Amino acid sequence: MAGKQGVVLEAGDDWAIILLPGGEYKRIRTKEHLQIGQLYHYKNSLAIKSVSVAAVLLLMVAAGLDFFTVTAWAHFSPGIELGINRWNRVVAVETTDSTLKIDNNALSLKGKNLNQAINLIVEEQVSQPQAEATFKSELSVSLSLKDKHDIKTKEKLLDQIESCLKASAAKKNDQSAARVVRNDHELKVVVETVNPVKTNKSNKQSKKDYNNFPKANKEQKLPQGAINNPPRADSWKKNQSAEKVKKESEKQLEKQFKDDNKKPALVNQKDNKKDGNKEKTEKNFRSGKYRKDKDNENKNTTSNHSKGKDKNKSD
Amino acid sequence: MQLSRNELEIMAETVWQDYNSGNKDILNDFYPRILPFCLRVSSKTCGRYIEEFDEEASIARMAILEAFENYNPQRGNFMYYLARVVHSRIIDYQRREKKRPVPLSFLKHKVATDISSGENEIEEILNELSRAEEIKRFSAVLGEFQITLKDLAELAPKQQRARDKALAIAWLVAKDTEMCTLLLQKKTLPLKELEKKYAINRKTADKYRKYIIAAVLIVVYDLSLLKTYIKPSRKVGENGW
Repeated sequence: MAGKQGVVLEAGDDWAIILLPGGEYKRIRTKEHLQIGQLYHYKNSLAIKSVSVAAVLLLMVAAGLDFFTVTAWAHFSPGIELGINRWNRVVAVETTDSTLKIDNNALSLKGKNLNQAINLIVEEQVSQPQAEATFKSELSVSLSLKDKHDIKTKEKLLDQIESCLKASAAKKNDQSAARVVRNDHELKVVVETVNPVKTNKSNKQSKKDYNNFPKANKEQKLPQGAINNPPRADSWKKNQSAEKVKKESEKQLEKQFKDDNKKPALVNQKDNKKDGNKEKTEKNFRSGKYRKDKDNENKNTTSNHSKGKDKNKSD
Repeated sequence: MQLSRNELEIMAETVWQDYNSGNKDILNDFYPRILPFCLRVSSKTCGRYIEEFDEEASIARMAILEAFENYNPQRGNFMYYLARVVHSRIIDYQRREKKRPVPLSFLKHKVATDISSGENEIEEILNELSRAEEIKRFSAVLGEFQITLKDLAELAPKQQRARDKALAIAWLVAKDTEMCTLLLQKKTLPLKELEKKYAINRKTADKYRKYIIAAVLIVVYDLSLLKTYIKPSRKVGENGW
């Protein structure tokens, strides 16, 4: 900014009075020692200050506008839509379903990080009180970007949401198990919950579920995260009704080993790992030890028969 | 009392002629008049303010004597020659001082101006001296009207439009001999006469009375260097008061 050239009329230690073109007398503060009659280049500091303040304000307004601009919408299947800005912050929440289970006001999702928001939504979805002993709920997430051609950003966001969903699924409590399935541009979280407060009916139901669960697990070919999901195994173990069923299945296994030469079906890898007896029988069976024992058993006399039987049982 | 640029140049030439003819005592009277110029030259050379009691000031005094001894009219203007001599002696002194350990405070000083390379710097010093002389006259005249420069800084109109109006009134008064005489006699602005003759708003004139008087005095006393600063930036019409 061009200043004015004035003449020094009077000067002190740190001040001077100058006469500027246009007849303006100005008292200025200066550290340099000015002499009377000297020319002084005066810059209007007020103008510079006001311009800089205006620039800062403009920047702040622009940054604020940019912050609240939604770049992508994450659609959650229960009828909730999260508007995400370029810094992955939730800046807008819209609910399309009036009978929505998730109360967005209670969650206060606005201003939260995307990860935090997803965690809250998943938690809220799982912790919904259910009348039934077990229930299966689904939460699907899809993305729509303002710039539809920006596939990279979409993929990045989906990856982030997926990892976040997996992390929150792993945190679930003992009564629930969640798995994440990805189909192209959509993510699905399947939450299966067993309610600890049960009626007689529900106990039966849980048994059925337990028996069906490993088979279903095999058939569906779930993704790795879902198979290696420890809370699921733990939840079934801790269930009292499940323990009974487990013992029954063990007995069935033993019978199968005894009667048939057929390969026994693998039940659940995690159950086998934790049960030492099961593991041994399986190993013996595979290595042929089981057969040798059986042959020896046949050769032995009837007196030894009872002993061999006990051994096998213990194995 | 300081002299204007032309007066100083003429006086320096005359004093040199007298000194050259054998009147060595004439320098004693001339020293206080020429010293401000020499101090400004040394100040420009050093890049800081030089007072009369500084080492550089005594070097400048010695340089004046040297200039009077060695000056030849064929070398050009005496003032320019004097400035070059002062500049050279100050530089010599600084070189001598550089050999000694330099105090940290010395590093703060501005870079020295090379006066010997161009005559513009000497011209500027001479102009500064002339302006200083005018300003001294101006403040002395203002004193007669019991106005100080601080008053002007405080009471001068802040708005450009108001300043233009006040300056226009001042120029009007300065050109009107009758008004000028009244002003110089009564030491106050003839508001009534201004209102009658030029239909100038009395309130406006009274509000900026000191400012208008200062501007009138600059014009009346023909302070040419200051006069350029009090020209209104735009013309104000007769009905614009």
